[in-house]
Amino acid sequence: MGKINLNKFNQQGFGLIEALVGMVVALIIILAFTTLISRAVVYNSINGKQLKATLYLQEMIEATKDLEQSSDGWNRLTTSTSPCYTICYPEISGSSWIVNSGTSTIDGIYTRSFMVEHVCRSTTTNEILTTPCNPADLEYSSTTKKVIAEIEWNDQLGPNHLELEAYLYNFNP
Amino acid sequence: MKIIKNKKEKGFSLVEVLVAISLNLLIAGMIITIASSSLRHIRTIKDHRNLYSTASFLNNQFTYWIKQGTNFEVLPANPGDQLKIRIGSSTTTIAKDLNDRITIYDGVDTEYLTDDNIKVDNLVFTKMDNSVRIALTLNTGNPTKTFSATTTVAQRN
Repeated sequence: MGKINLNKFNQQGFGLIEALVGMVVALIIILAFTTLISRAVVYNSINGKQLKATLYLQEMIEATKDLEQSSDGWNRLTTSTSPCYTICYPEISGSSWIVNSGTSTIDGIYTRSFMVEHVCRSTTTNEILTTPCNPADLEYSSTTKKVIAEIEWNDQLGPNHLELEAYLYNFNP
Repeated sequence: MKIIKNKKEKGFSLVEVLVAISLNLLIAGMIITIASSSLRHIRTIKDHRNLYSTASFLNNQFTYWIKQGTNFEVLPANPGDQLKIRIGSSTTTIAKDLNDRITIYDGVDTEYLTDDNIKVDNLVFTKMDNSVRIALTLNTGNPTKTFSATTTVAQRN
């Protein structure tokens, strides 16, 4: 017949202290995980704002591409009195895009604007050059302009800025 | 008669047991609260990521189709506007259907630009002189998780 050990002091298992220590360790691990999740939530929100900013920025370039396609629109953008040689923003008037001087605010957090620059092209090769125009062999193009659009906004990490550039060409000079 | 006190007896007093159980319960409660909050945040991140990727995909699709078009027509319809894009001799129609999805119909087949996890609350097309303005609101079935944006796509010269 085998012996049955009834000595209660030799019984083994988890006591209250071990359970308590285990809980504290689990709490620490979950707190660390939660910190990571919180950061992910912040960056997720930042990504959403950046996506909207990209769409609003793209809209400005597309609005100038709309204006590029009509003589009225081209004149609105590039006439010598156009506000876009300093700073302007696109706005809808009826079914047309118009330009106004200054910047516009969207959704209360985005500030967007664009400007038009003269483009220097070689009279011989027609190549676009970034150097200042030299009257001897280069001239500012009357049919090509450069548009620089920018948008600014603030998020949880601070101020942000995005910029897009495109060339416009007058197909109906 | 001698009374021998057993010095080897070990154990916790009732107060110690109560304190330990209370602490365990407290910490377990904290763990459950924090973990459920984290799970909620993970669901929010997943939903927003789904919204952003869908919005980005739709923007690419609108750009792709509108840039090919030679002529456009916006027809106010229920449940959302219809954009008819003339491409060559065929017409492609982009619209919102009754199940709050965005469909594209090229005259032969209908394809869905959004999946079942995304509902389109609002889709408004505005025809401009040489471009189309698109206002879009998406949600994931939860009205608090939405994404709204407006953009414009100009037709190609």
